[in-house]
Formats: sequence, structure tokens, C-alpha cells
Amino acid sequence: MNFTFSEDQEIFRDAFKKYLESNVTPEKIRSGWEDNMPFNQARWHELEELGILQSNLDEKYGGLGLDLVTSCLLVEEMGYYALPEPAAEQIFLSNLLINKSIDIAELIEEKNQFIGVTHSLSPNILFLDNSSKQINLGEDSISIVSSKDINGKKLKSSDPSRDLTNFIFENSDSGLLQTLNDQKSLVNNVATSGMVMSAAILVGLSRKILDLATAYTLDRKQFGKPIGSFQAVKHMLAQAAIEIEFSKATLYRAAYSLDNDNPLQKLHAAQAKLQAIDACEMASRNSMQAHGAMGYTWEMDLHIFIRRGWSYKQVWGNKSLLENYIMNQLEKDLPKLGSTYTFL
Amino acid sequence: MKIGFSDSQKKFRDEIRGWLEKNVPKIPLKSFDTKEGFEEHREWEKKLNSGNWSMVTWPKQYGGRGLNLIEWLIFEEEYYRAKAPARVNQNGVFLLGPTLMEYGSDKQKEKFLSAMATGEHIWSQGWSEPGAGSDMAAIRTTAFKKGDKYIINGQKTWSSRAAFADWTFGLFRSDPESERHRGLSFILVPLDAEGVTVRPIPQLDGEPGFAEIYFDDVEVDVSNLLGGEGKGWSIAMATAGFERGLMLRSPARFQETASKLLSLYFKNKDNLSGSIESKVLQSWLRAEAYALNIYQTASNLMAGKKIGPESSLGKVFWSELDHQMHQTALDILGVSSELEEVVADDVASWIKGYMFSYSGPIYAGTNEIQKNIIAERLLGMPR
Ligand SMILES: Cc1cc2nc3c(=O)[nH]c(=O)nc-3n(C[C@H](O)[C@H](O)[C@H](O)COP(=O)(O)OP(=O)(O)OC[C@H]3O[C@@H](n4cnc5c(N)ncnc54)[C@H](O)[C@@H]3O)c2cc1C
Repeated sequence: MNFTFSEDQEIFRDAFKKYLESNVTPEKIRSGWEDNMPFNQARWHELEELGILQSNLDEKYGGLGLDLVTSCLLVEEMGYYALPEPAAEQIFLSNLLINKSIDIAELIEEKNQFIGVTHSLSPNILFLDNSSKQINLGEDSISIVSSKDINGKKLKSSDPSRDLTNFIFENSDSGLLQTLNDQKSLVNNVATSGMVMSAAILVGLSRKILDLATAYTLDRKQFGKPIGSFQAVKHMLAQAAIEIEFSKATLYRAAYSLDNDNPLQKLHAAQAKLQAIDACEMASRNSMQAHGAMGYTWEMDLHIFIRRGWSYKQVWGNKSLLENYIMNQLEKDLPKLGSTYTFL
Repeated sequence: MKIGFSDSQKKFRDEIRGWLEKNVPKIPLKSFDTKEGFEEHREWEKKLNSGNWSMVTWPKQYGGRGLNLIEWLIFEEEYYRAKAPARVNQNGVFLLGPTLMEYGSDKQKEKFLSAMATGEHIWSQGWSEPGAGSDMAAIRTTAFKKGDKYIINGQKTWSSRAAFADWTFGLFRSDPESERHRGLSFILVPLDAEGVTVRPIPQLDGEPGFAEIYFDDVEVDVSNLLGGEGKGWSIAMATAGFERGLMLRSPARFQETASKLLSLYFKNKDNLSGSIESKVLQSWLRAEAYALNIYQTASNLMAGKKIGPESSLGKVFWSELDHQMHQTALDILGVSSELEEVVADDVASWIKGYMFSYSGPIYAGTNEIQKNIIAERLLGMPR
């Protein structure tokens, strides 16, 4: 049992963090919003050059072949900086599909380009104009479609960093390159991966949202002192810190289980996502409260992170779906509950 | 990262499981907050020691097995799984033990650790005083040095197990000129010393789970001072860290309660509302989250990292969880939940646990104090 990160994992994460710190600033995110182009092609290339996009892609496809715990740490930072480009999706969804299916690997020649992935847990197409191909996951089939042939209706998200298109099904054969059948287990695997991905983003967001609030409460004065010296404010933020702390190990275990094909990976992923949802909601509400009216403005950066959480709480497994799933699992596995089964 | 147990850890699990299956009393012992039950639990500590199970992380020379924190967590899991008796000497083995290991002289370790492991010395803690609760630096009980003795005067209170315990450890003001957290010393005091009066205090369940301790010119040998004179505060903070964190409240306890709650829920499910269901589910999730966090913390400690104020995060988390689980169980039991009788569904243990869960947010430093620590020392907010 060694539940620590390796030095390599931490070094890679920290280097990436440095890049994000200077290259994914709220100003840059806002300028993408203003131009209606949240996807920054130049930044996508930088992510490619840094090895982030291919970090978990098999080496035989030119990737670094890193494990999903490392990916999880990278994606957590993508959340922390609210990276608009769908690099998390590329890593946890399309790279996973390519790694696991030779058929898909053969159809996707340009593996550094963004490949959108849809599923009933996240049905709208993300960044259609920036993707070359689109992979649609059915219940047990997978179809690969050429993006330029897809007709869809643009949808406005409450998070301007998310460029969404609703796929129009009446002409679903247009651009269809291939449909693979009998893919149930791979589809499930990707859905689980999406849960871990979205949980990692939420944990990163929560940390950032809390950091913004603590910084603000040191700065803002009322009654002649920083509002951070008031105990009511302290306790709100302490409570958020507690929720965040107890979402982390659950998340890393889920990434580990996914990486190691643990038979309980979906349960672990669902646990991680639920903890992350609660942490993010607590951090968002309490940090907003600690900001007063300033937090409720478009001008303050806080909402860039909060609204990203609103989306990721719902896509790739939301509370209701996850709770139902876990409750059914627990009822089935009742004899196996208890402390001696945590690491089964 | 490698999550999972090694073969030797699995063997260790089998060994402790086997031993407990053979040795855990078939009939539950009486409560350790009664005289008779206390002695039954002392016997149990002795039995544990006979199998070298008192504290598996201690060095072999003191009755331990020299094992690591992961193995200790495994031990705890098996211990709760087997429904083995509560540890009457938990203040000793989980709190004073590690403190002695870090700050004690060889002589003190020699004298106290083995007697602790065998249950010969059962320990209570003496921090709180009538005027010093959350504000522990307001301690007024004095221990002034005279020759090779400390002369102790004053009063401690809320001291768990002190009603029947043999020894107490705590903080005393050794420097008459000192104020607040300076000039305090960490001293070990035998409760049968002349001048000590122990007055038991019945708790919510009616039993004397804690006590007041009066000191009237009590003489203790200077060799009972732990660490240097006047160094008591920082040593006490280390002990408090053990108490808040993984030592006193290992996750198995909460995970076992959570699975008991799940069984209770599924048995009665058809008559229960959705809000009960979601609380049951949340209880399980949070008990697991606590366990995973503690395993990661243990791994980090073993890799040489330190934990400080982080233990306050866990203290709030487990104490709120414990309350939520018991509250939910009573909501499921409904009209029978008030019965302190041995009836179906283990009602009596839920109401007892529920009462005790009210104290979790108070003892080991109240949750408000923990949140102050989190805000000021982890988040850097101003005092
Ligand atoms: C079951 C149980 C077992 C115990 N066992 C022991 C033991 O073995 N040895 C021992 O020494 N003590 C023991 N205690 C005592 C325990 O440590 C104290 O109760 C605790 O430190 C709080 O002190 P107090 O009771 O004086 O409450 P107070 O300090 O009077 O606090 C009352 C309320 O005011 C709040 N408050 C106080 N100061 C602040 C502040 N600065 N900011 C915000 N809120 C504040 C508290 O959070 C609490 O809600 C035990 C207590 C219980 C309930």
C-alpha cells in the first residue's frame, strides 16, 4: 500500500501548473469569451507541445503512455485554472478510446487534433468547429463521424467557455465513417472515465474558488479590519476546506481503479464524483457569500470558476444518477460492506 | 502509487482475524464506565497484550510488533469487524504512548509503556479545568518544584475514565510567574497519590464516564516530568494532534457504523422516505472518504511527510459524520429508538451511540476551535 504520488507525477503536475499560471489567466479566458472563441488554437498547440494532450496516449501512437493518476492530477489543474480547451476530454475520453480500441485508433489518424465524444451523460457536442472527428457512444455501439459533415444547432451554455452543439439526428448518416457494434464494455469504461474526469475538474475548481475567497477576505476591510478576521467568515471557508480535503483521496483512488481496471471502478468513480459535487457546491456558495455583492458581478473573476462547476456537476454523471447507481450497488453487495472491504 | 495490501499485510490480517475470533468475549463486557466493567476491560487489555496486540506499531521491547501505520489500520479494521471490546486504555495507548515515544526518556519509556500495554496502568487525560476549556492556556493548576518533587495544587475536570483510572497525564503551571501557554509542564500523576481526590461525573447515559480531579499538595517525583520543564504546551499540541487525527479515531469505527446503518436501512426500506435514503447513502460515502483520506495520510507520513493543523480537518469531518449516522438510524427506528433495552435492530446501541455522538464535536477541541485553526493556520486568515 503506497497511496502517495511519485516524484515524477508531482514534477509533471507542477510544471504544467506553471504553464497554466501564466497562460490561462482570467483575462485570457475573458478575451476568448468576448470573441466568441473560447477554443484557442494556439494554446491547443502549446498543450500538444508540452505533451499534455498525449500524456496518456499509448506510446505506439506517439503518446507518453502515462497512467491515469497522473492524468487526474493534470486535469485537476485544468479545473483550477478553468482551462477552456477540452484537454481533459481529450485525455479521459478520446485518448482512452484510442488506447482501448484498435478500430478507433485506425480511424483517427490525426491523434493530436481534438476528437469530440458524446454519450447520453453528456449529449451535446463540445467544440464541434474545432474537432476533426466526432465519436458518438450509443448504448452498446460506437459511431465515428466526420465533424465537418455534422449538422447541428448551436446551444448557449451558462459557461461561455463551453461551445456546444446539439446534434440533429434526422440525418444521422451524414459524415458517418463507421459504426462499431458490441461495444458495451468500452462504452461503460468511457462513461466511468468521464466521471473521474469531471470529478477531477470539480476538485480543482473548488480549490481555486476557495483560494479566491481567502485572498479576498484578507484584502477587503469592514469595521476597520479585514473581513477574514470575522469568525463567521472563517468558519464558512473552513467548512469548504474540509469538504475539499475529503474529496481528494476518493478521487485519486477512483483514477487508480480506472487505470488498473478494478472491477469496482464505476463505484469508485461515482463516489469520487459525488464527493466532488458536494465540495464544489459548498466552495461555490460559501466563497460567493464571503465576497458579498462583489462576488455577484460579472467583473469579479470568481464566476468564471463557479459557472464551470455548474456544468461539470451535471455532465458525466449527476447527483441523482450517481446516487441511484451507488444505492443499487450497495444493496446488491450488502454482505461485502464494512471497513475490511475498502480496498477490495 | 500502489493501492492494495501486500501479501505480508494480508497474512497479518488473517492472523489478527484468527486471534480475535478465538478471543473476543462472546458476551459483550459491561460498560467500562462502571467499576465492574472497567475491570473486565482491564482484563481484556491484558489478554490483548498476551497476544502482543496492544499496540502493533510500538517497538517489540515494549510489547508491540514494530509494524507500520497501514498495518495498524488493518488491525483496527479487524478489531471493529470482530466487535471487540472498546479500548479502556485508549488515552494511554493511542495518545500518551506516541507522546512518550517521541518525548520520553528511556527510563520513562521503560517504566510506563509496558505497564500501559498490559493494562496495569490505565490512563486518563488532565487538560481541562473549570476555567480552562477551549482556552487551554488559561490553566491554573500548579506544579511547583520543591527539591526532587513537584507539589501539585488545583483542579482538573472532564477527565475521561478518571473515575476508575490509575494515572493521569496533563498540563500544569510549573512557573509561578508565567502566563498563558508559557511555563506549563507535562506531568504524569498517579491517581492513588496522597492528596488526590477523584469525583466522578455522570454523563448523559448516567454513567461516570469522566471525573473531576482535585489536587491538594500532591507530591510527585520530578522523574514524572515529560520533556523539559516549561515545554508542556508544545508536547500537549503533539498529543492533541494524535487525538484529533488518525490515532484516536481510525476510520474502521465509522465504516462499521455506516454498514450497520445500511443494513438497518435496507431492512426497513419500504417504509422510509427519500431523505432518509440520501442520508444513509451520504453516511456510507463519507465514511469511505474518511478511510481513503486516512490511508493517504498514513502513506504520506510513512514517506516522511508531517501533518500539523491538517488533523483539524478530520476532527470536524468524523464528528459530524458520527452524529449524522446515529441521527439517521434513530429516524429509521422511529418510536422504538428511545428504548434503552435489548430489543430487535440493536436499538439500545444506537441510542447510546447517538448520545455519545453529541460529544464528538466537543471533546478533543470543539469543532469551532478546529475551524478557527483551519482558517488561521491552513488558510492563512487573520486572527
Ligand atoms: C465526552 C467528553 C470527554 C472529555 N474528556 C476529556 C478528558 O479526558 N480530558 C480533558 O482534559 N478534557 C476532556 N473533555 C473536555 C473537553 O476537552 C472540553 O469540553 C472542550 O475543550 C471544550 O471546553 P469547555 O467544555 O470548557 O467548553 P467552552 O470552552 O466553554 O466552550 C463552550 C462553547 O463555546 C465555544 N467557544 C469557546 N471558545 C471559542 C472561540 N474562541 N471561538 C468560537 N467558539 C468558542 C465552544 O466551541 C463551545 O461551543 C471531555 C469532554 C467531553 C464532552
